[in-house]
Amino acid sequence: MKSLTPSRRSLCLWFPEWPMQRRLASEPRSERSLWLLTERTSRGEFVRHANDQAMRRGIRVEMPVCEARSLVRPRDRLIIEGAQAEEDRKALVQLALRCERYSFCIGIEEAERPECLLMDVTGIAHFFGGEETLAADLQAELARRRFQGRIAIAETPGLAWAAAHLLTESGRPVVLPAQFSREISDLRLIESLPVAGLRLEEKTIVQLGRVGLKTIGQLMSVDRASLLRRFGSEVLSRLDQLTGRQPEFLTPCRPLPQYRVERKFEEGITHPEAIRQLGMELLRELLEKLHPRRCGTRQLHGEAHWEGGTSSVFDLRLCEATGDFRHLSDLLRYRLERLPLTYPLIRFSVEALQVGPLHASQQEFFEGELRDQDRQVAMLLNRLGNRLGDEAVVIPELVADPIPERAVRFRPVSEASPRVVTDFARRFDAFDRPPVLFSEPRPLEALSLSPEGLPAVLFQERQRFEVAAGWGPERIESGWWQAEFVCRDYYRVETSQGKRWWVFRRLRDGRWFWQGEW
Amino acid sequence: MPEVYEMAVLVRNDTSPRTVVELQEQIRRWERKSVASTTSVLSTGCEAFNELFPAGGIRPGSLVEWLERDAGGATTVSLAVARNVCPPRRPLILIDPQHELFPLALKGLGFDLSRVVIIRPTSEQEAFWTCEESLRCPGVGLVWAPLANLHVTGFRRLQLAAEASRGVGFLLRSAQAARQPSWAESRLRVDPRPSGPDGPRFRVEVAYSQGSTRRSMLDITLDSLRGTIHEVSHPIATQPLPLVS
Repeated sequence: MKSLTPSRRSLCLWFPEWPMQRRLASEPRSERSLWLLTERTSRGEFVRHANDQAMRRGIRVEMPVCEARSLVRPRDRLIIEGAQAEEDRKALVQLALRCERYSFCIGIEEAERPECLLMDVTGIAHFFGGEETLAADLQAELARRRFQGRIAIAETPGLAWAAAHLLTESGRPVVLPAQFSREISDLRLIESLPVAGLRLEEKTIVQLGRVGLKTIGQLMSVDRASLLRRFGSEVLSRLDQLTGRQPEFLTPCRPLPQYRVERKFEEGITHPEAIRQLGMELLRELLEKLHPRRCGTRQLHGEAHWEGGTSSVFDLRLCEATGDFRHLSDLLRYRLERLPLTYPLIRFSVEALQVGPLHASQQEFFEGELRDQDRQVAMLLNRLGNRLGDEAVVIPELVADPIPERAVRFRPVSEASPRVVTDFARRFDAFDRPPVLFSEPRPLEALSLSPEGLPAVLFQERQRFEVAAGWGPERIESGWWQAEFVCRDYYRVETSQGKRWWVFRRLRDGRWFWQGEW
Repeated sequence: MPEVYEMAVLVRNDTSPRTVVELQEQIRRWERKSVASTTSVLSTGCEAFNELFPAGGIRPGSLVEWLERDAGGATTVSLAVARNVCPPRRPLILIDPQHELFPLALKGLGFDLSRVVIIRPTSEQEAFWTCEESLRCPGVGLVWAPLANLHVTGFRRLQLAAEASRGVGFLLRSAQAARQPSWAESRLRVDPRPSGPDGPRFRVEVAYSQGSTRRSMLDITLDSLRGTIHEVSHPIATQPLPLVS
């Protein structure tokens, strides 16, 4: 069935050398001066930004200021200022607020020194007569304010960012049509882009370059699990944000409303029933704030302050955003019962974090019962996680590591991180691995007929087990670059009593261990 | 309502042994009718295996008890069956108090790991509570739980929870549990047998069943490549000796 939700459209507005642009825009008369923004480090003062005039004199970024001074000619007017990262950020936010006629949600990029505005322009373009006109209008508005912005519009903020940095030229916006990333020719264009288009840290780009991964296409062809292992989650996350596999939410420059309710008491309350009633009252009040916006919460944060200066904090994480009072009150009641009631309660607050739209869409009418069942499962998992702890309710994820105890990672269901998929399991048949694997291999004594062969007899806790049949060895060893080197010969053995064990001989010392069973 | 009228007449007239037997027979007939009308049953993936259950497969809203002797095997067989029984797109909840289930093997058996949720309770009470809550949830496809100690009242609660949600519960228990009363629809005992050329073999016996089954015992082999279940064909039956005339 075709998705009923329209594709999202994002606009990236990049201001190259934003700190310098900001100053030049505010003081147009100083255009002909040599303008340097410097930064003081423990090794001295260095040039951080320089305008075109200064660059023409041979001044470069990261150059010591004293060296830059030596390149200045006698008639040149030199302006040297300290870089002010915080002021630059504030100015970018101010500019974002002025651009609100182009988008309902404008955020600045997540970077130490941001230079981009990211806008959600879904459903806005037709007010301007199309996305090209919107971009041209914005470009003209910026030019009027003496800013040089590079504009790109695409399906995801990640793709728009990459296009703004790698495909645009000054004064010529780029609009990548909807469904862009699904066309083969367009995919080729994305694949040919350098990895610098992924908003990665400089050191990560250097590391990728060292192993020969220079384009996004090369990165896409590498096994995701090994990327995760070598470069952490950042690379995968950015890749998924670019393709739209992982949604990216913009943090609006306008401050978000805070959903928090609180009660203070002059005289503390001690009765558990009164505290429970208070919790329910606060929860109802909090949900009344969320309901008009059709929002729910994925996390409730509670703080209880007791007489004597002590406090208790709890967090209630959920699988999906919900605004269901009955469900949330059940979860909250359990948490309140576990609060230590040693002193009277004098202040209690509940805050809704991770507020998001409720998953009620037109599509639900078509999905019907299936969606209802999904919701019931989500509520069940919330209840289980709330009572047993987030770490006790997990989803398994395979990791491409041959060492059995490292081949699986368990992720709490309440964690909203992208799922890592690997085809590592395809290389195994159904009974190559046992369904029961001990967390610690158990030591065994073994007698083999040949020095490095299949064991004939196994002894476990003074019990003797004759091996009736066996298969192996299967050698499993870790990479030399890994901290702990593992090299084992595994056997599947069937004892005369009918037990089916997975045992291994550690090649380092020849000792035998029992690690799993069928 | 002719049947109700018939019953009323019987009750009013007398309580002789013959009448009681007739009434019992009528109740049994109604029960069979209700079982038959409970729509389809879930297949284990092997026709012969289905015959170990009174309804010719696993009935939604029922529990199955898997009894394991010292040699093991019930975990593997019950998981292989669970893979087939769990409806697609529905989550499978595996309760793992010992932290010993190995998802790589589950993947090999054909599980879709994106639909598998593993719960790791720290006590028997938590494991029981988790099992009951999960069985009560209509969205859950199947609940698999090793529950060593289960009181008859608790067992009944699990059965009612499964019945209410029309879910399926697989309870893994030791062979000693065979002495205790059961609320499961079927109680199967699993014993390993020497492996054959195509994979590991097991004998599955019906220790108890709510209703008659077409078979009481079955030798199966689990395909070592795909993890599918097959009946071990008897050599005499499949390759009869040529008759000498």
